[in-house]
Amino acid sequence: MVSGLFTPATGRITVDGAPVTGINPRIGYMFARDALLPWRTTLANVAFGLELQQQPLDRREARARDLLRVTGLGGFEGSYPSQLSQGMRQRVSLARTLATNPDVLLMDEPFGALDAQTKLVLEDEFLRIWERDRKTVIFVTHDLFEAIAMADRVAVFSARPGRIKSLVAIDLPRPRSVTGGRFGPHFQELYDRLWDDLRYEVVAAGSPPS
Amino acid sequence: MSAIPRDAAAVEAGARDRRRRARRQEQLWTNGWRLVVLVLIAGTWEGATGSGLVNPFWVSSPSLIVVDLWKQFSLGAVYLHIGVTLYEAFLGFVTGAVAGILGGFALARWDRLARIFDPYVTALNSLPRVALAPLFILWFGIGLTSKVVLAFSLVVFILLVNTHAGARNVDQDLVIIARLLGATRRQLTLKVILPSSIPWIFAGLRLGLAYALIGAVVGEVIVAQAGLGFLIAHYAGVFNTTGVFSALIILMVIAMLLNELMKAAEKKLLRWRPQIPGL
Repeated sequence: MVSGLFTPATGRITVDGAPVTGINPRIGYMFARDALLPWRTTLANVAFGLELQQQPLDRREARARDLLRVTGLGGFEGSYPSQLSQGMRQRVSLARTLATNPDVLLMDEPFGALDAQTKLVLEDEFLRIWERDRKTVIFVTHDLFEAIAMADRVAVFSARPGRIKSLVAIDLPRPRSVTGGRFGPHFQELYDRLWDDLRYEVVAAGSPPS
Repeated sequence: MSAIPRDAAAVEAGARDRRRRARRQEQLWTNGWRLVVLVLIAGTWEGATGSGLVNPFWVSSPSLIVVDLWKQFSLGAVYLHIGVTLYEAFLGFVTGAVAGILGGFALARWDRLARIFDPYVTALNSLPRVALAPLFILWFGIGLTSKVVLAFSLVVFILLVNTHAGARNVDQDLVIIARLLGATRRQLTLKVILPSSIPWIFAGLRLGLAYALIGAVVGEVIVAQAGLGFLIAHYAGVFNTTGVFSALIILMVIAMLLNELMKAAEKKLLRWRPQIPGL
């Protein structure tokens, strides 16, 4: 709804004070599935958004190369998605999302389909890239650890109907790293508190709607 | 430390080499057996006719066919017939493919159109088009046009149905991501739907090529003044079975060559598809 793909049944959505009326190119989107165009090379996939904006070829290629370097994929410009691992594809997907330089990033379980190790590495990389310009990110995840480690605020959604149940500010210091040593006791406190909220909803989601 | 990756690379290269050698050996083995099958068939055929078991007047024989092919190609008239058939098939194929692909995209683009035309497409597609040949000959004469129209009528539906299916089977996630990145309707068609339909279109083109040849030849068999189908009908009419078999073998070789050509083009266009090892 924030992206303009769906319109809300009631209420209204504003981004930076302006109501959302259609698809907003100022918003970047990333799925759990990489959704890369399989017939395009890595480079052409990252440049796709700029190509749709009809930017000149040299500019979009330079930008795509730059982002591939940032996401740790330098040297894979000419590879096709089928030749890359799932983690690498998700990096390409991230680079594509960043390429159009959106103001807001909507990330729907972006690392949800990755194995545990790759996920940690990509979370760290994302934090590192994010630190460069600290854009607004709306990040959907089922992973509580991920949520606390990355977010400034965590919103817990209730199971059917999905409403925001609680909103918890995460006051852990930045820059953070998910791999560089565990977080302190405060992390555990936040974790326990959110898990209490979440546990009830997980049980509710598993039972038939009343 | 640095010795490990170099060793690993050497091991990998060795394994790759072994795989390649095994593949080549497998290919050689397959080709060998193919030859055995050919020799077996030709040998049985030759033996049956040579020993008087079967009258070569009805079934000809491999040696007679080879001699006849040699004669035909050295005399040269057969080139004209090959050319005529190829030309008819080519025209029917190209016009049918273009019309079918454009139509398929139109049906995918305008869903309402697809719903309206669906029963008509199905009806015309289920009709054996070859049965239309006499009509086409009445309408378009005994020359080139009727054969082209027949080939067209066969090709166009194959491409229409395949392109439509391909365009509708595009991964919805790709459509969504393109729209979120700001793609216009036109960009969506050209940059997402068209490329993702290419494998489907190619499957249609390969089938269509074979059908274009069928259309041309069937048209010629019914009535014509030139072409391989004309040759077959003519030779059959004068009980020259050897001539019929020669023309059939020429047709077979042409169809196989065209198919290989198409495969090569497909491989080039679809190099992004995952390569399955061993294929």
